[in-house]
Amino acid sequence: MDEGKGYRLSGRNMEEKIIKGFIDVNWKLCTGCRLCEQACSLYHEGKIWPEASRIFILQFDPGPIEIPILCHQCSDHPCIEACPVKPEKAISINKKTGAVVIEQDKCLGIKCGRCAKACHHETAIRFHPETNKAINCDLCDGLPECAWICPSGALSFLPGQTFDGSHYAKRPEKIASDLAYQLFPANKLETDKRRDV
Amino acid sequence: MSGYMGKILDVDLSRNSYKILDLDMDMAKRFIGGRGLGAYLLWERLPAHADPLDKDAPLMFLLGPISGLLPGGAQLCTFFKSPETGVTLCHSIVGSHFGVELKSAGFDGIIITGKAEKPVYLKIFDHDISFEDASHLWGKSTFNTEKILKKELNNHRVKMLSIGIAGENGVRFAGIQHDYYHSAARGGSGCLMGSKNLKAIVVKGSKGFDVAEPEEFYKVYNKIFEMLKRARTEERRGYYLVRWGSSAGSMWHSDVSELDVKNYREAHWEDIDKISGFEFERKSKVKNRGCYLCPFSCMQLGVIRDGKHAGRTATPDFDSTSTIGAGCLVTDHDGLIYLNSLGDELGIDNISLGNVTSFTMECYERGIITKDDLGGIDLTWGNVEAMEALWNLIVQRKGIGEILSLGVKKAAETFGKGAEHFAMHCKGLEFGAYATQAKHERGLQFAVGDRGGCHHYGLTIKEQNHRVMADSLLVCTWHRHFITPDIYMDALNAATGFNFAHSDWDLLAERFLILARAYNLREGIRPLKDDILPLRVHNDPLTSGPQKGAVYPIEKFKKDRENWYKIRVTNLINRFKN
Repeated sequence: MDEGKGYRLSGRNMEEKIIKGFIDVNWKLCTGCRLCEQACSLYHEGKIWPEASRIFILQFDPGPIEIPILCHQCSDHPCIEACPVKPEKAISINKKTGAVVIEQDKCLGIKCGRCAKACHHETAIRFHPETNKAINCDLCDGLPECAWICPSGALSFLPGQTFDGSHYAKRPEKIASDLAYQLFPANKLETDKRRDV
Repeated sequence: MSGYMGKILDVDLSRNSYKILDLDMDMAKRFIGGRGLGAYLLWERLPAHADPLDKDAPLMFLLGPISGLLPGGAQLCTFFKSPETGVTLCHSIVGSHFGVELKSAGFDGIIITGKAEKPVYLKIFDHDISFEDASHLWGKSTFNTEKILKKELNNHRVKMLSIGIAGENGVRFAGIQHDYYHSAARGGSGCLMGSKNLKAIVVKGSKGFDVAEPEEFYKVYNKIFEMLKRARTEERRGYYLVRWGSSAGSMWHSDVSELDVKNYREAHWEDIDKISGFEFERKSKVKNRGCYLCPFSCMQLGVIRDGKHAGRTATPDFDSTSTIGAGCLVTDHDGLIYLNSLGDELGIDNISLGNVTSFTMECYERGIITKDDLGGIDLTWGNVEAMEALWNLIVQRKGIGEILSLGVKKAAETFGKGAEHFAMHCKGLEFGAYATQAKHERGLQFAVGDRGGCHHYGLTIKEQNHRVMADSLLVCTWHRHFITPDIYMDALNAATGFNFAHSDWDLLAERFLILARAYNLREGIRPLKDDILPLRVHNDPLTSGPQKGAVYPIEKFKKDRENWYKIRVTNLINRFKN
């Protein structure tokens, strides 16, 4: 994504020092307000466009509880491996930020969709509602807007790469059922059923 | 097209057809959206004195120019002629995510007329609209309807409005539920939706939102966001909303003697700590949930941890726990949380339901109705099991539930024997959880409110104007404590390209309020005859609390009311002069 296309609500600019790192998600704290989606789409699309956001909130029962989904920058990169574009793959690692980025010009789009299927998270790569090209979290070129705006503390930017992001990258259903198990200990009826998901 | 999406979806359920109308921008500029636009459209579309449950009566879901665009702009306005009062117009606001999803599907509103032959749900995926069979959902609770539809559509991002059993059966104060615990319930929106055989509306959009002056708009956006974020910790109201949600309000309303206690007989309750927001935090709170773009996220999600209903989740707030809690003298916290969640599940207006319940309890205590009339239910004060049994009768409209499902006004007329004295309603809509013996301005608000005994009309002229504007722009009314009108006007101008002056705030507000009043006049409401309060407010002094002995004397009420008319009329005359 070209720098300067959208708005940074945080007012930060690229002169700030970029540190490699990733976005930490504390699912328990997410209120489902979707400010992250909105800040994300403002930076990437130049307008509020929840459906074109790189981070997105899914809602699950019981609760309901909301789970933010985004690319966790796994080190084994199954998405890059799956990309069939030749000679140079459409997905690569940005050297400056360490983020997985998808080159929109090269991407074959939703008809291919192999990267999305390969994802450990299964949902972190989605498709742009207008162009149908694959989109994912590119850490806003190193200064993630979602982590800046999140008012509840569910999202924060963790500088440095202490451990592999793939530890986060579970199926959303699994995250939701684990969270429900933790949050609603008495909720035998629903959570026990869902533990097997 | 900026701010607005420029399209209105006009659905005729009788013919299973729809039209996509262009939004008339002149109309939009005059009536903005939500409550303003709704009053205008209702005036235009529904002939005078029509039956509110007529199959051609419109049920409207309206957005505003800045809804979905900035923090607080999550609201959706349902607008219709109230089946509960039978005469007044009614709006009911619901937050969470339906509004933004509808906007993102490319619509500024949905107008639903007609009646489907068999139960249907409306599916709106962008401009791809279909009428789907809902026979398998009929008879299901609102929670189950959401669960089933999400599973069927295999989509965790669809948003929906649905009605419960109360709406299907035509309970006059049935509501529409969204996102499990958010309700647009006052005045009987669910009753109207049920009469149209419309079980649910599912929406999913994929469009982005354009604004006229992005630089300017996002500057205002940032200002609003920063103010709200600061208010989370630095403002009293912000802090308590985030931490306990509005249900903590019942404590301070009790402290200043304005809380509905025992069917508005008292206004202060020493047992309030047993059921208030503090107790909820200690016993049940799990996390905060919020409306779209709101840094507050004041909806407190909790779970009942033990007992009969262990595992049930609930999101109590002040409105949905006050009349069924203190109003019915419920001291069992878990029981109250259960009832609160049950009301949402049945799809019913908890405020009116609490009023009906406490009214019935008082009738029972006074011997106006007997245990036999109640079908064997021992409806004593605070008896949670009895309340649940009564609610089942009401939503099924069986036995005494048939009478009670029409609201306290009709029930009092049927019961007679002096029950009118403590049937707490105005124009047929039950009071919104405030006892008014000591806080007279709250009484005046109930009397002059355009949808009846509504606690959202506003206590002062300024607040009334703010609330009607917030409901028309479709921003959260809670945020009025933190964001000034000027900021909203700047946002409106930047989003739409209109050139409103800051002072136009009051002009627009007065336009909407006078239009609503004119509508009610057209339908036969007469100010001096109908802007009145039940006799309890004037005749039953409080017997406890710091305001012991307080009452709202009828002479003072008439004077206050006259004064209010005078201010409003003078403002109006000055408008015409200028």
